[in-house]
Amino acid sequence: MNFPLNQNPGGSMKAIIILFFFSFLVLAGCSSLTLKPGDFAWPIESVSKVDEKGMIEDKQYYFSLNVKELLYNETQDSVNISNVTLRIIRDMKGYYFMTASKFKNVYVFEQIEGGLKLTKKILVTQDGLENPAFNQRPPYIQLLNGQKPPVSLTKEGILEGENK
Amino acid sequence: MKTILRLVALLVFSSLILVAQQKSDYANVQLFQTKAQSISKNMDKANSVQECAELNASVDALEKEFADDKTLLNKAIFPDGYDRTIEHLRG
Repeated sequence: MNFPLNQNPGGSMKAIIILFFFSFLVLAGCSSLTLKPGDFAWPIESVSKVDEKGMIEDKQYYFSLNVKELLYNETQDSVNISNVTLRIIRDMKGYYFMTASKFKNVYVFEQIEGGLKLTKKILVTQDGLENPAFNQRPPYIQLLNGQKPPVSLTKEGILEGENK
Repeated sequence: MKTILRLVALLVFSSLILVAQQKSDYANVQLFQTKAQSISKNMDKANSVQECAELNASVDALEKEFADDKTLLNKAIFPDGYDRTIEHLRG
């Protein structure tokens, strides 16, 4: 039995070209566009008082954020939140570092749609920070704690060789 | 005796370095802004040549005090930074 193969060679060529063209369009649409390198470092930290609703608002970097969950996570107290002064800084890679007085930890967040997601909780002191402050010291974030020696932080934790 | 003196000097020097390392950039920027605002307010109120001369000396002192933090202040204070703040004060 003979099958009529390749009766119209010009037509199948056309089909191949169309198929190739569509595949190219689909692949181009799927590939993600990446812009690199970027530097997202804030020159100085943002210092904001938490209001009674658990919100902070920064007028220099133009953002607002509800931090109730963070305060509850650290203090297990969701009632007395309005006197907390939260300190935030963003590193070169775009990660946000947050802490406050009496906190034992520094929280590292990454940006997601409409909010921030915790990526790391870094235990910096068992006694609670006395008078914390962040400094931008690329590629690290420096954490000051009163008169104690400063500590260098990355999104993974305390820089090796530093105080734990 | 000399060795002890040297040791004491070294200790003082290292503690000074430690204190310098502890400086908060945020606090530094705040201090600069507060001082600049205070000079600016006093300039508006100044009535005599002597007061103006004293304020000019204050601007010189401010410029000198924060010269090491020029890069930080230029980045952190928008839009004026260190240079334009001093320029405005000299105005």
